[in-house]
Amino acid sequence: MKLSGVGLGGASCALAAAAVLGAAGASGSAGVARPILRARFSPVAPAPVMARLAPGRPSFFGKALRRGPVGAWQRAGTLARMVSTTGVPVTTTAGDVFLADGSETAVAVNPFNGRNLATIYNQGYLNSSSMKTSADGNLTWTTRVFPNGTGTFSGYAYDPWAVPGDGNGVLFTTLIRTDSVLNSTEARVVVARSTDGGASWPRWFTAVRSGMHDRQMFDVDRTAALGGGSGSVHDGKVFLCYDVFDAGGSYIGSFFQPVSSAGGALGEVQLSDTTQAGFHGFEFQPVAGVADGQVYLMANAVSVDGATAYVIIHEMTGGGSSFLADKAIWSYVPAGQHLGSTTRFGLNGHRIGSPSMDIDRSTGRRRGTLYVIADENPNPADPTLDQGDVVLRRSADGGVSWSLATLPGLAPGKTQFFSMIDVDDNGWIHVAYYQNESGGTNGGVLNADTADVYYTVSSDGGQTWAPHTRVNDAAGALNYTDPPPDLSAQDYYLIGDYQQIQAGFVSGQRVAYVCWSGYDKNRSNIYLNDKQDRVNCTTVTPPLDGDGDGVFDPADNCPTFYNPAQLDSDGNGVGDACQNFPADANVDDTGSSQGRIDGSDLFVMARSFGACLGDAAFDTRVDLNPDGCVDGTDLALMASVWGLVLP
Amino acid sequence: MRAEAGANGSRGRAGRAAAVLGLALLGALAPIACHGGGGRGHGVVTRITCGGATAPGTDRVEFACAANSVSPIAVRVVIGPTTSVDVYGIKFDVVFDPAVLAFDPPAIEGSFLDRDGNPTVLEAAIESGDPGRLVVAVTRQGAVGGVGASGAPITVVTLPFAAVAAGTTSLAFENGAAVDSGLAPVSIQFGTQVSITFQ
Repeated sequence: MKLSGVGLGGASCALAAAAVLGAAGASGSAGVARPILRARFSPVAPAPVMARLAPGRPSFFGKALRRGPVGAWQRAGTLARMVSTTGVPVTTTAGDVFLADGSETAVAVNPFNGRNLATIYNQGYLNSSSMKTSADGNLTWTTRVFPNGTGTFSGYAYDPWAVPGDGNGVLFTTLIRTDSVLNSTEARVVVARSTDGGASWPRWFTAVRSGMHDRQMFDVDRTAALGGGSGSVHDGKVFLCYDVFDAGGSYIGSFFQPVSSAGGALGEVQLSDTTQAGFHGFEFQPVAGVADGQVYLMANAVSVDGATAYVIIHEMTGGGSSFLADKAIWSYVPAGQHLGSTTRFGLNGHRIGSPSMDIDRSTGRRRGTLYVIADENPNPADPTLDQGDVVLRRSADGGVSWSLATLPGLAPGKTQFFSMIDVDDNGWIHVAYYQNESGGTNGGVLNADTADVYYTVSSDGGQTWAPHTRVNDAAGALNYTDPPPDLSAQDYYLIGDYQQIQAGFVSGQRVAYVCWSGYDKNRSNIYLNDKQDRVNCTTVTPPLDGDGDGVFDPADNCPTFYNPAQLDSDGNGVGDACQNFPADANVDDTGSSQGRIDGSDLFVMARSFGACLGDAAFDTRVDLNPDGCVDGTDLALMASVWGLVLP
Repeated sequence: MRAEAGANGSRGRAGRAAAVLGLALLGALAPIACHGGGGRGHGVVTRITCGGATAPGTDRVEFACAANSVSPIAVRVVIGPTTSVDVYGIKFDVVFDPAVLAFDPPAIEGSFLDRDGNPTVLEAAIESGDPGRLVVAVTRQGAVGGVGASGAPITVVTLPFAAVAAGTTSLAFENGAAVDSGLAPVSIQFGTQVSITFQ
């Protein structure tokens, strides 16, 4: 037994139609300009595998370490000033939520509870309080203790990273802990896991390879329910990558370390070594794929002079049993200029982070699409002009071929940098970045006195973007010295820094947590000299895209119809898709069905129901929304005007 | 509500029981808000007599009256044996006097078109601007074949009607048609009218 679709709604049969039609009408009355930011993608030219590709300097260079009199790495604290170990108050404001003095913030969001967050960051010597968790969605934070590594690895920490696990309340964080006995000639990746939403953080894994570990990143093999592949052999495994340098800062290699869901080391794979044949990049970011045990790896490399950066894409399958190297490689000119006499590039006296990658794990049509975001210099030969733009690349074939587009909507003439990306469970792409706003020289394009953090989002795979919105409160703008000191020669520079963005869902509402590194030249140095960074997290609520066509509702000329092309033939502000409805629903206009929406139209829709563009049964006439498939939305649209006699 | 219509339509038999329960609950609420249920609470005498129905012959669709009842009355539309075994969809209008009678949604699908468990879609609502004309269609869904009937009449759909005022009205088919899985016409005749009297 089945009840009639129209009848089941009772009065809603009329209301539903009114809602559809009303929305169309309402949109048409606007008549105002609707800024729609469209990206123009073009193919990415593959770069030749150059003979001189090389790793850059370790990320710990110039951070918590510095070279001592005999050239060995030493704790910077032996030369730096520790001022205070006082706890940092947590604010509960609705805007920028100040977590702590620190930098390089990473954040993980519990996929089962969007209010459950874990952040981790660099905080000089406060190793016991370099992370916090929130149970209320970035309103209040609680200080947690990151564990020591095994053995003597309880020294100062650096290179934070955070990822959610497969279960409700399972969160992972990592830092690299130095050897407190050997005076910083050894450092180990330590991974902590919480299974109680962040209340406790026992040590889960410590990497054992000898050397100075650096720039570790990891990801978790998702269950099918969380967007991973079918099959569960590898579910819950952690895919960890890290670089190893010797005590003199010379590169040894990069490694892929899978870890069982119980925290046990599985077979390690060396990804890169110091030979040209064996070098496949460094600073590998692993991104768990959409098949069980599949991991994409994005690696970096630089030319010898540092002026050209490379991205190299690899794939690991079987949880680490098979390494498919060099699936793609491309080059770009990094944002900024040489820092002093070094080969590093940067701006505001700071080196700029590497590209960031994520993948669409949604069930939608773009599932499996890879995205890489990077900061690239549009004017490398002229440092008086814009020194950084945010460029997005994407691949729909597993990382083999790529197309790129500069993010539309970037403020012209201004420098954007330190971009970060997150692709959420529905495939929406969230991007945040810093932007130099002003400065005494050339408007601060290279060295600014103020900068802000911005956010934008795309719901259609990067084709269309929401207007870019400043994330930080005006009072929370990054405040640099003007001009900022060129700290590149001092082995220590932290002005503007890594940030991380992660999206989640709170009571069905999509939110994005942008955790960024502020800087205040007027604040006293808290932990280390030259370190005036502060960790902030700001909650951003993106706009809605009710019809899922990629054009956000405020700009959509048919907000209830899937019409990505936004065609508006008569220019009246109402898109053709909804302006022509319900006439479009009168598919069969013959006989008794002439001028009326009834069974003759329904027969055509029913026959094509479930078919999509390219299927033999697909009938474009009954794809009323029109999104390329005849589905429940089309049926609902027809039901909403059932029995309607057209004028 | 609109989304549920589509979702229900795409379900197979396995999910139907729960869907029907849920929809029935929704449907029970519907008259409160919609145009149906005009006879309730208006003080009319709701004893109903339905007469004139005949059993459907081969390739014919007819009304089947319930026994004397109270408002609302469930009028079944039944089909006799069919020559074709590829009936994919059936549509028709039911014309009546809106001063006497009102459609009391939801319509309830019978067992003819979904007898093999294939998903179906049923739509029934009053034509815009004509409160005395109910537009009905029920169809199988997807690129599948149709069905046929043999033996005893089978219910295509049940249409609840509620009393509006005392009086007599006819229920008559108009614009009736059936199609096969290629959406070509199937020779099905729509039968005689019945008479409904409210006392």
